[in-house]
Amino acid sequence: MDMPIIPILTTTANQEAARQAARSVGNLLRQTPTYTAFLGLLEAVNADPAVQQLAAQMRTHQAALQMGRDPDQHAVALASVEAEVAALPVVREYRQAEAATRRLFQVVDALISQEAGVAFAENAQRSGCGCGG
Amino acid sequence: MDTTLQLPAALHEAARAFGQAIRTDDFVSAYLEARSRYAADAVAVELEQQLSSLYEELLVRQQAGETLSQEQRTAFYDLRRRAQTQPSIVAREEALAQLKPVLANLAGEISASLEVDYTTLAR
Repeated sequence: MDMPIIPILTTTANQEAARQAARSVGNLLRQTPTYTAFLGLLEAVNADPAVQQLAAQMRTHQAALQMGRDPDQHAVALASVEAEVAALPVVREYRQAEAATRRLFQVVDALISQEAGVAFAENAQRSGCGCGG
Repeated sequence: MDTTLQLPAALHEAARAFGQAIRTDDFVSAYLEARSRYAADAVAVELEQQLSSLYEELLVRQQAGETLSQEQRTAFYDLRRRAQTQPSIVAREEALAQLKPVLANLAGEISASLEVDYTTLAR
């Protein structure tokens, strides 16, 4: 089979069709109530003053831990603040929406993978990328 | 995974169509062929099963606080080297390495629509 050495720089007609199909999946996922709720709660969490205040405290403790300053004290304090964040109603709602979104995406991905003959998301993750979500 | 979750019809069809479009890609075909050749190679399959079993066994021991002996580590690395140099496994892994950037680009198209990383949420 004659294939290009650098696949990402070469677009065949099949690949363009696949890209369009990918965009279609993305657009339809975005329109689902599950994902809309998730995005709304993500914005709500990021804008929440209590979350922002506690996040600032977390960063302070994390920085102290990285510098090795009173590690036991800061580790306990960090765990306490993390628990406080997790208990906030808006964060709990966000976690539930995130879990629902994961379930939705996993079902979609299983379908894609079944048709493709290869596990899609598992093999599509860029190495070293811990982004998103 | 929640197998009872019902997808909207349009999304279900789009996901199927996307999967089918992926399957027509030359890199996917090459990978599937390489995977079939591997599956037909009894020695390679046995090697990978042995490697997986040994890895799990050593991991459990380590997690239980046991320090692995030099012999155990050597046995593992020898088995891994044999697996990594088995031709059908090498061919499968090379085909997969060629395929991954193609899949990553396609996932990027989905992520661009979503404004979050699709692969993080879908795994």
